[in-house]
Amino acid sequence: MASPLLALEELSVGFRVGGEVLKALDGISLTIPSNRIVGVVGESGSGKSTVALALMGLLPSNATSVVGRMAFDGKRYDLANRVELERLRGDRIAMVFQDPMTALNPVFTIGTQLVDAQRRKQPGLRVAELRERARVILGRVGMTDTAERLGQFPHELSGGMRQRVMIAMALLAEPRLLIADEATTALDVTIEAQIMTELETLRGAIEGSILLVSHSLGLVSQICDEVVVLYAGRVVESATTHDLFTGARHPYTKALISCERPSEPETRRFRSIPGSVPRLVDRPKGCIFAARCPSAMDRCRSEVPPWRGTESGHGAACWLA
Amino acid sequence: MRILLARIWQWPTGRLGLMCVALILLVALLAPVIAPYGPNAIDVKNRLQGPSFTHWLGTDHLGRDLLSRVMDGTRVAVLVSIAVIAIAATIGLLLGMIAALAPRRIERIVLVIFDIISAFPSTILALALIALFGTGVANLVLLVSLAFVPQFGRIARAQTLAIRNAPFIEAERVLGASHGRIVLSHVLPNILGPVFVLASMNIPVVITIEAGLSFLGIGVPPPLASWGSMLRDGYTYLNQSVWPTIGAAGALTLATLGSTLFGEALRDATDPKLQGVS
Amino acid sequence: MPGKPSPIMKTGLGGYILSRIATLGIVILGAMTTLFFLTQLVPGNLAQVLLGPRATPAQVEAFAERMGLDQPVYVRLWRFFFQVAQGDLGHDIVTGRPILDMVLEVLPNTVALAFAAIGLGLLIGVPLGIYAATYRGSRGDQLTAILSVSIIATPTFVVAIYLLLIFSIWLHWLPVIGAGEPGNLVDQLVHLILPATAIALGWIGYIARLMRASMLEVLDEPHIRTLRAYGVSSRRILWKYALKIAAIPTLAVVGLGIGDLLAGAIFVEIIFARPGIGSIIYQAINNRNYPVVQGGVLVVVLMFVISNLIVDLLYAWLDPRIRRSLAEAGPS
Repeated sequence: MASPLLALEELSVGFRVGGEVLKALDGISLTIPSNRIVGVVGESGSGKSTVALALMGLLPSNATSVVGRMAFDGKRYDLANRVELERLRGDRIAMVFQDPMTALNPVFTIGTQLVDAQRRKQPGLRVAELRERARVILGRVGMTDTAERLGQFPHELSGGMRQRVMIAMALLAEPRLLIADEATTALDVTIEAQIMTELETLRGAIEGSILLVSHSLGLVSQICDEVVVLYAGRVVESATTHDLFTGARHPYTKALISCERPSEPETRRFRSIPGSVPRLVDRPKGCIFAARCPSAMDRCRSEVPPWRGTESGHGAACWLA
Repeated sequence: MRILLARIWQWPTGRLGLMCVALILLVALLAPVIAPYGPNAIDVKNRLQGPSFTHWLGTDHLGRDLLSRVMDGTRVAVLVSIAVIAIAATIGLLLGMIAALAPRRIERIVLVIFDIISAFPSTILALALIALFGTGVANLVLLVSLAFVPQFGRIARAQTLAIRNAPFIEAERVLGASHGRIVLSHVLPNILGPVFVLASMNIPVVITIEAGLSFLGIGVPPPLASWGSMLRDGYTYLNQSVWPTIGAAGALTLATLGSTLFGEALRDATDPKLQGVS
Repeated sequence: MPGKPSPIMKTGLGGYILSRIATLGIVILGAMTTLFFLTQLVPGNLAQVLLGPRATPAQVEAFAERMGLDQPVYVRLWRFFFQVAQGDLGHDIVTGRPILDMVLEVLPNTVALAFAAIGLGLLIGVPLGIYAATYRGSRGDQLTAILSVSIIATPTFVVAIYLLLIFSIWLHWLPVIGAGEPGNLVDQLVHLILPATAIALGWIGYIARLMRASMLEVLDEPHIRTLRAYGVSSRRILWKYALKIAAIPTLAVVGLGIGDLLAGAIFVEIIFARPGIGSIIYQAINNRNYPVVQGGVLVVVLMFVISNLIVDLLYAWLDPRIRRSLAEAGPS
């Protein structure tokens, strides 16, 4: 097997909130193979967006004790070193953010923002050329009247259109890795489907991989080749999408899948796992999921379960796996 | 109240403001007792003196002791500004609540009056009014307060409107409570907080306007000591002595800065968004 | 709004300007009426008051007739409007000069002072605010905060007197009196320095404080993170993308402060003995020259209202969201 595009090793991040430090990520490792779509799934509070921001070096200023390394595109990076990561942004890594309503500057036109977003990648081109590139890309993400769109302000576009603009911005960077952080959460279901289709067609369009961060396992399963399940800042299971849905090994993953099962499609969104992700000040001694786990044993509450992987790359952190 | 003061105390600026305000109130209260001379005790032989042990801040062009006059001026500043704000707040509250509760037509009229008053910058409105109606403390207080009515009126109207539609008011109305009763028992206590903050934010503005008008010679009439009129006298004799100017300017700076800091700390202390943030 | 949005937006903006000018007209008429009735409310016989206590009854009557004071109120109000519309602000009761001439003669001085002050305030206040926001919590930031609040709180005329003391009485650096020799631009500029600084200092503090607060808010918004994610240089982020948004609330508050600016200008003109509208009003007050007070105040109110209109238009120019909501809500 060729070396992966990105291999993340032991990423830990804490946030200073008030006087205490919340451990948001606790030793996350994951790999993203070349030309694949990898999904990162978890409930809110699982730390999935923190992973995305850490890769970009865009963690908020109250992030403390960032520890971790990554190998990306043949080079090694220290994730604590923001300056190193800064050079990757808008060049080899690009990101589509969660809320297209607020991710674009309200007082500048789409065109202006698409032009400035390319300046790092295309230092040699003139503004008119950058604008033309932007216009062409807008057409590729399914927008019409592209020349006119460039002159419009974000508030003149619908949410779905704005998210297309964000995707266009990411494509202009011709990244090796495109991160989509809850890219459809703020949109309604029909638009969500359109954007997902758009993302899937990107697989062929970019010379690289996509990291899809989402709270919805169902959504991720539609287009992802591989899935990483996060819980309370740790990886609890990772597998190919097929393996995960046919033979989930961690109770948390099983619970997530049963929540998604389209047995009663109308009520799908209302079913959930009882309890909530624990606050991360005092980590439990054993397995972090033990408190909500239906099949927890005494051992789960006292000892951290080790990572058990198979040769096919399907692994889980559970005593029962 | 105690919690509020404690919250103000926690900011260094709030602490400074609180201390200045306390000092000013104390001086205003005790001026006749602690002032070394009478504010109008003339001693022409010792006119325009610099600071000395007998006259800590020096003397003015009539040989009056400047420290005593600054202290007496504190009384004028405090009394005028409290009177102005009290009158403006009372009229504003009344008009604002009437606007919120009365029929649409009356509301319109009240709002148009507010708009017209606000069309004049407050200092210039006060200046025009006093120039036309004549000077004197009573005129000064009444006419300056007119300029501040709209601010209080608007806040009273907004708060009353917000409360008028609250469920518990509806319930009382269904139970047969009258307009007047509802206003007195619910609306009034609820709007007093913001009105008090607005009042304290406006105190330095009123002090400035009073001093400004007195500086122009149309504020507090002589021989009453006002920081503004002292500054006017000092300005006239600036080529002979700078001390009358410095005493009055210093007192004005201390008072406006202190009350501004206090007002801002009070606003922050009552802002629910900022609570819990130290 | 489907189809072509840009032309709609243009007519919307035009309509907005028209409606703003209409509102402006109403406010000016209201202010004039108020001003007129205020003069009517002056206690005692107006002609007597205007002429002073030494005037004989015959003089008073003749004056009243000449000024039309014997006519009913509505006739006089109408005449007042009519005259003002023709540019006739009345006559100085002492010299008999047309007030409009007096005002126009000194208006450039006052306008120059106001613009110099606001320009200085923006030129120094905006970068200072951005600096304070960028280096939040640093020594410089704290120093800026303390200086800002001290200067904002101090009344303009007290600041003016401090400057007068320091630069003219003690250091003998800058000239104090007057507006400079007419026609000599350099001399006029030199004479502008102290008065303009006296007004501008408060504005620098005010603007720096506002800019800092709104910059900090803007820099935390997601769209700024988007720009960072694409490697847009922080200079471009600060001075282009964040500044334009942060300028909007700052501009609104600057608009609110224009009244204080004009009032401050009156005091500063008096203190530095600078010919201007402020000094005209001041002299008129001292001479009980009511028509001049009325005319002068009317001109100041006009300046106030017009500058507020300019601020409103700038506001719409800066924020396309407002532009659109105005275009939709504007008169159709």
